[in-house]
Amino acid sequence: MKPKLAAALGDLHAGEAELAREHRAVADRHAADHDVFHICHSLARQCDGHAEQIRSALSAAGHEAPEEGHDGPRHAVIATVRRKASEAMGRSDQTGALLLHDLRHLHALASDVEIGWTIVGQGAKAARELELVGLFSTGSEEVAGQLRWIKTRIKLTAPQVLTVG
Amino acid sequence: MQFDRFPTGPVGKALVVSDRIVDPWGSRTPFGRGEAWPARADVALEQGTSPDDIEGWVQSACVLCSNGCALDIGVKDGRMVGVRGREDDRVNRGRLGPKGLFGWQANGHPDRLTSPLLRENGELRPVDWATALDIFAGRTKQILSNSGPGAIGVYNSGQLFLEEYYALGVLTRAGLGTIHLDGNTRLCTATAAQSMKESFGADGQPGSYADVDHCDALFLVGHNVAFTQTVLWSRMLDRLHGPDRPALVVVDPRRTPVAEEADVHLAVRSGTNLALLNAIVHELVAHSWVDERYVGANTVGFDDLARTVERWTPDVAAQVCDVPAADIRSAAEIIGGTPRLLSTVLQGVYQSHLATASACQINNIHLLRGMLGRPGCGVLQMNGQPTAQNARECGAAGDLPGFRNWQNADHVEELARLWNVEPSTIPHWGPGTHAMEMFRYAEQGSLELLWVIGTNPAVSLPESDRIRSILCQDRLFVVVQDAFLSETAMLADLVLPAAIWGEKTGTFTNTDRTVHLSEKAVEPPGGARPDLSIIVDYAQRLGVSDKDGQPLLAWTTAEEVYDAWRACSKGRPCDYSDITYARLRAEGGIQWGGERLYGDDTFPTTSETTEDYGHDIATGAAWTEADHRALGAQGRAIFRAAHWAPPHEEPDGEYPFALTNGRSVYHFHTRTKTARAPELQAAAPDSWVEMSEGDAAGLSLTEGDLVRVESRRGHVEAPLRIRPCRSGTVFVPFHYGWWDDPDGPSRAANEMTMTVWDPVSHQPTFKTAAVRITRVGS
Repeated sequence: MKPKLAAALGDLHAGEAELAREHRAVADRHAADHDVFHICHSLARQCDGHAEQIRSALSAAGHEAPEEGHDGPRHAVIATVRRKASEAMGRSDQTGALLLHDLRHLHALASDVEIGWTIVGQGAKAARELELVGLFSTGSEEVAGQLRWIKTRIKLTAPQVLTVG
Repeated sequence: MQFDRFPTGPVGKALVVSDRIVDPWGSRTPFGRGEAWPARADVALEQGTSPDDIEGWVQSACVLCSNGCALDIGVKDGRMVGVRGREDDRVNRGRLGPKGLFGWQANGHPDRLTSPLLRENGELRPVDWATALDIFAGRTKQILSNSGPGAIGVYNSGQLFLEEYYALGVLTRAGLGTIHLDGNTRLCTATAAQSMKESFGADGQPGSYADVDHCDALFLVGHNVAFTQTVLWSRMLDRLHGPDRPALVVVDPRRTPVAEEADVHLAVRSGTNLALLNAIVHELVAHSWVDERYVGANTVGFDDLARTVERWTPDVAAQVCDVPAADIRSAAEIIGGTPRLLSTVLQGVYQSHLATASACQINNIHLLRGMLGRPGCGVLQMNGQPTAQNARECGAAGDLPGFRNWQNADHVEELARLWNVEPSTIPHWGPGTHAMEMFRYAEQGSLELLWVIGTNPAVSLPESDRIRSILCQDRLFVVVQDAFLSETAMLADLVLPAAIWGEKTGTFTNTDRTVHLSEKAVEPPGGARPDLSIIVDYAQRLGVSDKDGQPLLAWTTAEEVYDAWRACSKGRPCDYSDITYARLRAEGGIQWGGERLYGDDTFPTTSETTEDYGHDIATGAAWTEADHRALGAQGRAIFRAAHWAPPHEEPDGEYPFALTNGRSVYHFHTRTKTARAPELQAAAPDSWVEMSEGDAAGLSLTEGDLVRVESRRGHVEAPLRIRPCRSGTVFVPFHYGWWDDPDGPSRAANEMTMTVWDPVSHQPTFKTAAVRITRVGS
């Protein structure tokens, strides 16, 4: 694999890892919005899967794989604090606006990852890295699905936040 | 077969031809494939009343499940004194189940609400109708002007009549202007509707009850039909015990009466339906048990489906579902080899994990095998409630009336023309807010008024403690319209007493699209009023009008509303335009859309006709018109597929058992009516907990022990029954609340369930929760 293609994959790995972290953070911040909690956690797992596949692809090509993002005990404590805070805050009329803000940020991150996949996909096609093309095809399709979900959820929330009260 | 509880003698006052409490399905009338189902006349009369005493038989149908059995109500001295099944009706051929035979007695129960009640200084006190409705309308206007329509929510039922849903939908959308309108059908049939929208382009049952008479194999998934629709089970039993017996494949974690009759019983682990169904479809594809001509001509998405199920071999699914791979293969062989397959689906799928994806996979089986629209070849995505179909059709359950698409500007304009309002008046920036989200808005405080009609969310929604705390908030004005002081009504600020079935005229439609007219037989008690009359009166007090300043709801009779609905539905998939009251009176039950849908291999999936542009069924992300056009369905059905993933809560060391819930054959919903029928109440007076013999022995428990079942959210206490059931699974019935036992132990199953719903249909997941069991007494 060409070093620049490997570097692009490395960037994509970082993007997927950050997206996974942010999905988990949004999930825990909005634990009282139960669909957000469950779906964001499951989308985080989807990002983990992409990151894992990217690491395998790099290792198989003899490149140094980036480190797996470790959440560690500190993260677990933060997640619990976030979840408890969101449950305590669940009755506040500010939670809708916060959710809208967080989903918007998530959408920006996911868009960046989607473009990352496009860059890698084009490189993979030109380099005839057929396995990587296969990886691109699933990865970009799934992140496009994530974007669709985030947009669907934003469309649900925005009218209530902006027009009621 | 063991029953919930046997009465020891005559407990009520009704007299029936045979004891339908001991034998809920009655005597067998076996018949062979293609023959007509023999009639059997079922009658229940008040003791001391003979058929000669009846002054009039009034045409109606039963409202205690989705079967819609045609019956006549016997009237004497202005009172209901009995019911008899209508032998000429296509649905039941004269039969009635235990709830139909006995449930009518609830109408005359002294607990009926007869006056509006207003909460003053913490207590509900009687007020007159003018005061009650002026307060309701005044509060509404105040909230509309201060906070906007988005601060108002309407949560209704699967128990109203068609006319009431349609009027409510018009009032809510074009009058109040709020998008927060849903029915409790969200808990019951939202997934049925959603799966049909995803697969076939619109809601609408493809199959017919007559398919029972013609099929060679039955596939029942999460559908304990023996308890949920007793008369449909009688029909199936009559085939199973007749010549040309159809094969029977059953998916249910419990050894139900249906499972007892099965050739293959797949007692899957809760929350794993999709893994099993993916494996069955895997087998159909791998063995080419596929009608390639049908798939090629009438579907899109086969390649995606085949790719998704590729890794779901029976061996893989067997690990996930904890059933033998050989049984999965046997089931697939029956399903793949039968010339005529009828599948039925209910809450074991709809209220379980990955509901929409699972229900779609059952539709996929029928598309793969080309088994739709012909005698014996059908799928019944069942309803639970008697009038759920109408809530969906008439737009009271989240969708626009007439299976119209909120994303389609032409559809919205059609409604605007019919109602003489501007299209922008009708909320269509999104789908109707689903019930769980509505309660979330109430929890956050952005919803200030909640109008609850004919349903009991305090007991029926998941995580009861959370729901109670939402309903009790001072900042939320709760109006409850009901016939009895339900647990929800006890928490209300204003209670409006409603007339019910038998006390008002209207129509409703059962699971297989059969429309019945139900005529008024008696006067409602005291000041109770029909829901339609309350809705129209409230609308008048609000002063809602069309764009010419005329009243928006200019109706006085049910038939006038029905005729408006006929015009609204004309040309849509659920076209009622040629089904008039006169025809319903003369002919009895009539199916809209004919006996079966899609016999012409044409599906409502063009971008112009479809009710829904579809979703990613794993996340619920909505597709746009452009996405839908790119799919190119254009009249062909759509394969939707997804991988199985683990449920949101699974048993662990701390909470080692999987909790599931369901019904008693003797009760409906939260027993609001059935507990007021003496025979039904005596047959199943209190809750219980079911587990397998092995699990009970492991905890040193014996039959009758008082046990505590506890999840992370709450607990119930009830006596233990040892019944055949898969190991590790515990069952609790969902009927029991606290209105008739306010100081007793906690017994509502939803104290334990979790707040989680299917991402596509938004139906709550009642059937997966982890619990632990302890003995608290004997």
